[in-house]
Amino acid sequence: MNSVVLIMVSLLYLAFLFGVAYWAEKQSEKGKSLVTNPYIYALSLAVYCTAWTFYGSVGRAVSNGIEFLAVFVGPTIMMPLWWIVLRKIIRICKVQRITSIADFISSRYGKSATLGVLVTLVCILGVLPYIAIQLKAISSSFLIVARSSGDQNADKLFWGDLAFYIAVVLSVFTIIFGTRKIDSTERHEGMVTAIAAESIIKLMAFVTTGIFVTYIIFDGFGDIFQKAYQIPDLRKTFIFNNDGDFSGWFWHIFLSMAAVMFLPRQFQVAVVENVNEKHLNKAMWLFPLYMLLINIFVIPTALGGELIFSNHTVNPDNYVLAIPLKYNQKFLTLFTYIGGFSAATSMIIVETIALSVMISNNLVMPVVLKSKRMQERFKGNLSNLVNNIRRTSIVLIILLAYLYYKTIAEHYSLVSIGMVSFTAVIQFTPAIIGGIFWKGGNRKGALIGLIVGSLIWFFTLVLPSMVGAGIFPKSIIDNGLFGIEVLKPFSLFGLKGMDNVSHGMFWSLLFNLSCYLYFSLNSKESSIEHNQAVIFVDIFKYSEQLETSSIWRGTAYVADIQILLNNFFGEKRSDKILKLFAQKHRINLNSEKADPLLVTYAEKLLAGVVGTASARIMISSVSKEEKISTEEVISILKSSQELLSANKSLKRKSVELERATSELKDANEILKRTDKLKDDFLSTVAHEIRTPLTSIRALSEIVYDNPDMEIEEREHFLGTVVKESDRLSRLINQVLDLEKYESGKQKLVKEEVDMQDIIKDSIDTLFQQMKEKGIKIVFIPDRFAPRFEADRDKLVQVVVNLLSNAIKFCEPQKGEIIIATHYVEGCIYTSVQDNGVGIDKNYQRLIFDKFFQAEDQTIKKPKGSGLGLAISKKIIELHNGQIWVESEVKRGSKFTFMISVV
Amino acid sequence: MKDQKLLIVSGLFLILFNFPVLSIFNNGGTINGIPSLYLYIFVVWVLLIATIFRVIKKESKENQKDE
Repeated sequence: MNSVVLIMVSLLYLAFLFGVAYWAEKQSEKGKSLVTNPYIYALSLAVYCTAWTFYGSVGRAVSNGIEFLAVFVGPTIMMPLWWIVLRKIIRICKVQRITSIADFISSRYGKSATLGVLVTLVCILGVLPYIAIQLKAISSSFLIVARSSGDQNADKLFWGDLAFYIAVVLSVFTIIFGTRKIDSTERHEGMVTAIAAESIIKLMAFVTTGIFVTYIIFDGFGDIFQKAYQIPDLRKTFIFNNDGDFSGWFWHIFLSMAAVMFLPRQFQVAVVENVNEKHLNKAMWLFPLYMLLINIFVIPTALGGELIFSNHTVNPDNYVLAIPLKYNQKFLTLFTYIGGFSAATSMIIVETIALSVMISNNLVMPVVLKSKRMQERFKGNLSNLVNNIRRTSIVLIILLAYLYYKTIAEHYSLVSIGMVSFTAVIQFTPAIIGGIFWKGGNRKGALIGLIVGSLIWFFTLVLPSMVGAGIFPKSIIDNGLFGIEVLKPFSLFGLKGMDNVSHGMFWSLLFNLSCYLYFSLNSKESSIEHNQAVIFVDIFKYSEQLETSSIWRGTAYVADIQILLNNFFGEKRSDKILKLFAQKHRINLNSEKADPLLVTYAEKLLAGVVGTASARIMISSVSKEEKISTEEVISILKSSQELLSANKSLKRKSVELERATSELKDANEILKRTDKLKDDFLSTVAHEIRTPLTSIRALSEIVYDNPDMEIEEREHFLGTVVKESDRLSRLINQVLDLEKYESGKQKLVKEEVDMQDIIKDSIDTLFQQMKEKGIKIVFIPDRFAPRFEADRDKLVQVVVNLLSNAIKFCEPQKGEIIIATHYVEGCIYTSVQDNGVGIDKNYQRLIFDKFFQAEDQTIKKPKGSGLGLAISKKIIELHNGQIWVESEVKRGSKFTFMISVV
Repeated sequence: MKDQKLLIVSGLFLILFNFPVLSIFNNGGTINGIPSLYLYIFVVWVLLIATIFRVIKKESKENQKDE
């Protein structure tokens, strides 16, 4: 392939990236932000897979077998813990407006500017070589493809070097999408979307090549492994050959577990660019799946390459390209080249943006802001200054990476340099993990731990690479530093049997952690350190309160704060921001002195732009701060938390109150109704009692006034008096009875009874009455009805009542009563049917109410108390039964009660 | 609950992915033509991803119920 074509394709690809990023930013302006999509988030995390993955994994697999997988297995094991660790970091960064890993550590340990500087330096030193190998990957892949078309002078096509031009183009791209606007969230939607797109392209490219090698050149996995098995050198890579391999595997897993969070580019996409914590749910399984897919074909490709190029003329790092080239697959070669290009560019872009933010916020701005002269010079123009620093640093980083590539990286394979970077960032682990779970960790511990760890890292891993490039004498490696035996970089303190990376990592991390713990436990921390420690460790407890409470005390003037903000956001925007905030929290902006809440807010806004340390310097330059103790901080946070929970419990109580009120209302309604019923009942009873009483009194008076009354007449009168008295006492008995039932005092005396016996007894009681009135009675028993538990006397009372009602409403001589029992499915039905006057449909349900007849004068005058049916109903209900009536006017009625006997 | 489950998953697979469990499959043999170590690592890897997926699905369902 002609190198001109290749350049065109590369530029077209970059133009495509520009397009994607531009489109994404436009969508976001329209309010249809793409980064609210969890899939974009998960894909952007795949910036983890760089050119090192794309080309270097294959090379590594050739020499060390499956060991390369450790850096992908590690993050997968780490993923479930993201919910615990990374979610906490994300929350802290959101609440504190932290935008880089340097800022995170500096902020946790009392907003220390020194720590910020140190972390930034470690990041630059650690990551620069890593960027350099991306450049190397791009330029060497370019040369391989170009040379294959006979373009032997491809590398001399340009004045100087191709990698240099790539560096320049990438700087431009990064500047455009990394430093377009100053914002306090430091999010780059366009950049993230472009990275996600790159992730898809590199995955597709690698998998396509893998499938080509595995299934087209060879006959599937089995075929490749079988052929490789024949070659002893390759067979060795199928297994771990000694204990060192196992420990190396473990340490690499451990290393990458931390690196996948703390590499500046990973921190950028996973934490800073995160818009929603819930995206982690998708990312936690999608990102490992991505890593799995991109790695499935690494070993087949590596083995395939070894089988194809058995004469070792091709560097294994280049197999991915060399194989399709050898089989003359032009399109596939180009696709693979673009895949590798995308892997390299995505890493360079994100990494440089993250580093440039650190450089501006943690290295340069604190210096600028501390010097009066510089402050005067850039007054009112600070936001441009920040942006320019970032642009300059992007160019510088990429150029430095290029220089590194030219001087050192050419001597090293891709993977080893990557691992050196991993080991650099793992030095942050004690400070970060300790910082978010342990309040005792302090600035001194973090600082000393980090310095010692980094020095050991430099000595064991970086220095040897410089020896390789001829910067240091080789004697250091062979004889130790200053000729001291125990100070050999590759076997420090005499430790042997580990690979260089595991060895360097082990010692650096061990010393780092020990210093962190020792100095944290043995030194005092300042109040601001402790305050930040509390906020970081208990972030989930306080994140709500931190928005609404201020943990700052002192004097500052609104005007000064406004000027500070104007510097960065412009007058219009800062005015708007302040007004919105003041409105939300009811702060008076016209007062001279600034509310502490406003000061805290301004500091946070500034922290988003220039970092916590710089923001603190700026705020303290315009205010007189008073010390605030941790106890006070906690009490401030607690009181606002208490307020919050008090509010909640108040709400809950008022809901409960409402419910109680409505219950009371209902109860009152019921009471009112029963009260009315009682009144009605009383007046009816009084009425019922008065009637017989009146007649008794009248008749007695007549007899009293007429002593010479005829004996027959007198007897008649007295007979009536006796009858009415009977009625009266019956009525009173029934009222008392009913009262017993209603109050629940009436108890049943249960025994085994037979319904047929009860009916026979009842008929016997009333037989005389029926005979007198000339009424026929028919009894249809059911012989299969079982005996059951019931109160015999009460049931007799019910049957007698029903029968006497029937007798009452039947016409003399024509009356006919049928009483029947019927046993169906565990229930005994007893019915009393007459051919009397019948009951209107409207009253059929009412007749079981007390004194029904008495209330309704249109129906025939009662021949009883009107309580009989009410009492019967109560008795049947006490037996868990039911009573009802079917009737037609002038045709008669049929009363039925049912008692369950099961 | 979700925190604890995920922590357990992570710890369990850290063990499955390392010595000594790993050494069981480090015998140089092949299963269906594929080296057993290579196959084991990929199978456990798939299992881990599936487990994470299931834990998250289950927890988010339970959360919805609570709400």
